[in-house]
Amino acid sequence: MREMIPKKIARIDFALMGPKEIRKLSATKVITADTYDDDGFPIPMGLMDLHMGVIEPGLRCKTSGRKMDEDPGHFGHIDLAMPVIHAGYSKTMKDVLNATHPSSGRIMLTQDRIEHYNVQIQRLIDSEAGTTVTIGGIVRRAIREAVKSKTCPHCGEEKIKVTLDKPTTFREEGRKLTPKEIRSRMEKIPDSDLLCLGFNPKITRPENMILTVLSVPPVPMRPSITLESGERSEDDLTHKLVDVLRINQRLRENRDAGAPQLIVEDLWELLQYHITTYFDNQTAGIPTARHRSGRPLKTIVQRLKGKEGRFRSNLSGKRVNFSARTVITPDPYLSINQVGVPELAARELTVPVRINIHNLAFMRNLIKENFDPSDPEQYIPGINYMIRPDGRRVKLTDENWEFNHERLEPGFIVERHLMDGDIVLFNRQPSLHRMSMMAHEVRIMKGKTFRINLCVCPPYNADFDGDEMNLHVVQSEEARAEARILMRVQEHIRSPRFGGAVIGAIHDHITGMFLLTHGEASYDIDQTVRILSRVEYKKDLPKPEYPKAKGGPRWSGRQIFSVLLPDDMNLKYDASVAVSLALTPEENAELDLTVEIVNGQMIRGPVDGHSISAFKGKILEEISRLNGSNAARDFIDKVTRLAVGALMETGCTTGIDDADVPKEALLQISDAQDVAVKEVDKLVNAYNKGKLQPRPGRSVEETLEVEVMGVLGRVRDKSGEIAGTHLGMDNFAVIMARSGARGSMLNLSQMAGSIGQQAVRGERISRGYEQRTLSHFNKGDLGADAKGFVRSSYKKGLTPTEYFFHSMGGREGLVDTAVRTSRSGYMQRRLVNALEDLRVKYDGTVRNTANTVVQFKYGEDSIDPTKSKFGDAIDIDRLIEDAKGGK
Amino acid sequence: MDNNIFWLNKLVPKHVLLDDSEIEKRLKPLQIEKKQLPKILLKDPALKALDQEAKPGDVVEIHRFDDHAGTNLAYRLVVEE
Repeated sequence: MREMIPKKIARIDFALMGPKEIRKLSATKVITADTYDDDGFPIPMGLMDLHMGVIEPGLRCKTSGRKMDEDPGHFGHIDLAMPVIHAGYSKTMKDVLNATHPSSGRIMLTQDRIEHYNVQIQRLIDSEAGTTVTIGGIVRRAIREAVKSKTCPHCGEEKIKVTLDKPTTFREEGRKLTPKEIRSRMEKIPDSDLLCLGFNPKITRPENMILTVLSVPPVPMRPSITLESGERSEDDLTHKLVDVLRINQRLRENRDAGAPQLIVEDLWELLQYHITTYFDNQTAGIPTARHRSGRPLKTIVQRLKGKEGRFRSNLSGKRVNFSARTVITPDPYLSINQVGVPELAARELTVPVRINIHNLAFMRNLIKENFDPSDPEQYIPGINYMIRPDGRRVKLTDENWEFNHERLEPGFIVERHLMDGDIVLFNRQPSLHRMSMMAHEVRIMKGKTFRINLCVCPPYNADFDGDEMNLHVVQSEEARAEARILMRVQEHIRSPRFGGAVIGAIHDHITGMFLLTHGEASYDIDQTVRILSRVEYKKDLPKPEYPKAKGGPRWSGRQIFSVLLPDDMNLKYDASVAVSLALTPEENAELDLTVEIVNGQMIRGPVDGHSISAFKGKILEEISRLNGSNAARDFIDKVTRLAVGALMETGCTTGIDDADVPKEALLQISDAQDVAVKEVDKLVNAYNKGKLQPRPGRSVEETLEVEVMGVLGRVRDKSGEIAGTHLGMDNFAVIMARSGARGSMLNLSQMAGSIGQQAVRGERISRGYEQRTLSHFNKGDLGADAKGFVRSSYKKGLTPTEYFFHSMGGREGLVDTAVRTSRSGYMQRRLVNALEDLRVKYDGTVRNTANTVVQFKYGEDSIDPTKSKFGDAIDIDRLIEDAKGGK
Repeated sequence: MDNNIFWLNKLVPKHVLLDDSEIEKRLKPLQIEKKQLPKILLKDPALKALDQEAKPGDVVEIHRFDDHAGTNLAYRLVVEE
């Protein structure tokens, strides 16, 4: 590679190019609209002229002499027969035309005012201090003032207003102005007036907004493709340029032959159309240019603009190498820090490793194992390429590996396959927060899917119904260090959003731990050892809680769980099961529903959602905040394994019969519903007779609705209660709901008891036919059944009208989510664009890339929320407890 | 400052105009120049309500208070527009 001299770019000016610059930039003039001759060779001075670069292998560029992929190409130009307006500048042109007077060519401001504005602009350019004023703002004011004046202060003549017919027609008192006239008016404006019109005369002039020469982009920017049939298909830009050249030619011929004015003007306008659409094929006010097939042409603006445009699609975001994507599947035996990578992917993804005396032998062995494996069953990373110190890449093949194997020496770089322990980035779209991309350690595995621990599903928002995820192999030592220190999963257990854990035990882990530890659950020596073996417990067994039990000593589940707790842990809180029962503290204590941990030993209560789940788990919260991320990761990993172990001993299943309630209970529920429906009827009657008293601030109708909703809401709760009394802790669905593993008691009561009132827009269902929801009901029926009250349970099944109402409510939910995601997506994009360059500097200030201060103290309190306790830097209650001697 | 009703609202933080030596004392530890500060418009009601008259190039110190973070100082550069 050629050595480059590094240079700092001091500044960039954006300006209009005039005909002189365009010609100077041009490698060739383009005159013929044809591209290739019969032999398929580019025609000289055609659109594919070899001076503008080559797109065929073998040919050389006539300007730079380089071959296909070495040459970015060179611009050409087309001399336009008549000048044409650049539609993108028509607004500026209108301003300039209206602010100047055609006869004097001066801006219509007195010399004093011109000076005034010039000074302002100059001061802004020179000033060091910040302001909110921009050059554009000053220019806008100058132009507004100039446009307002009725006569020109320089020649004294009155001025005539120029109007713009978008996109490119200018009129003066109804008479069309030709681009030629406009150009000559702009040429007349003296340099001294240009500054307040927004032009820097040293760089550009307004007449450059009128094109007399059109720049032709290099061929590699608009390559033609050869179809299978051997037919050539040109790029859209080339098509457009062909149009321009053709019309340009006809216009020139007609003009030179002295054709009637009308014909020349028509052709001129057609040329204007083609050039306008060449720049932007979606210009308002003119028809879009189309391909023969009817597809709109993709011209310059379309290439750049929008989500699929050059900026957002190719510059802000790019496709990358060293990445893989496949389906994800769960594996509870992986650590949350790990990711299982299929061998197939691992052999394709590589890590560059610099050879030194310490790893030389190892790498040599890898080369050997790759081509001459000692055990074909075992995965041993191989090496795809080696890079010699002179920068040459050598691909290792069956033929050359033995030779290169010998030649490998310190200073070489080899590209080694992925192996266990490599650090990679793992990501699931949409990447909505920083936990959407975390660093994992690789575990090479059989199979074809990525494997992850279930506890990292919530931050990725992943499930296993076919989700795919992306994996990126970081390539440099710095990147690996950063990934390991900052991005590893264990560093993201606590969320910066609210200072609590976002990664924790889920679903089965919670059920499993609950089953292990609730009540008097105990295990004999075989079971205890089996369960503990899963967490690689290597110390002596604790003293059995029930040493004298029949059939040998037994250990309580709490003892087994306590193995995972730090020795100095002391906690007391209500379990999830207790809260949902809503009992008094005494009752809870009696039912063993308060959790108490003393010196790392769990002495009371079950382990459930309030202990180990993300967001709510007290034990997890304590460990992750006080014992650091290593301890937290270890705890989560072991809880996962312990829960699986416990489930293997007890088992857990749920089915339709978990929603079974006795007949009497069903009768009770339907009685309660009858009472409620009657009550509703009473309310409706009172309303119909006009006897209903409106509540303060509400109309009678609203009062009725509120009352009815209240009555029906209460039956739903009541039927839930009735069903609930018959759904005890011997029921796995109940265990899952109460322990916080999955589902809620509401879900269960809807399955067993009654589904309840359906709502659309927060009100009882009222849409459909005139004054009624369905033709099954009488007009004006305001009763429970006619307005979407569902008496049935999911298990019993819904009546047709109930089913319909239920679907209405369900549909609303779906629509809401669809609307919410698109709207919040756009909101997020705007926020990210505004905040992406902020960072916390070492002095604790928040600054942007311009190094201006945004916050003098990060978050105004300099507290890292991930290390806080739900936003507070200090857990003051806890400190007081400890100071008092703890408990 | 105390006799202006403007400052009685608890949502209006206290603004203090700094003199040159104070400005230097505040900005030095931050290693910034005046122009890197956030801006406040001269026409801002808080500046108008001050006893002294602010001019472009001045720096105001703003004493904010919130229950969570306590008192917190911020600085703004007065600009004309």
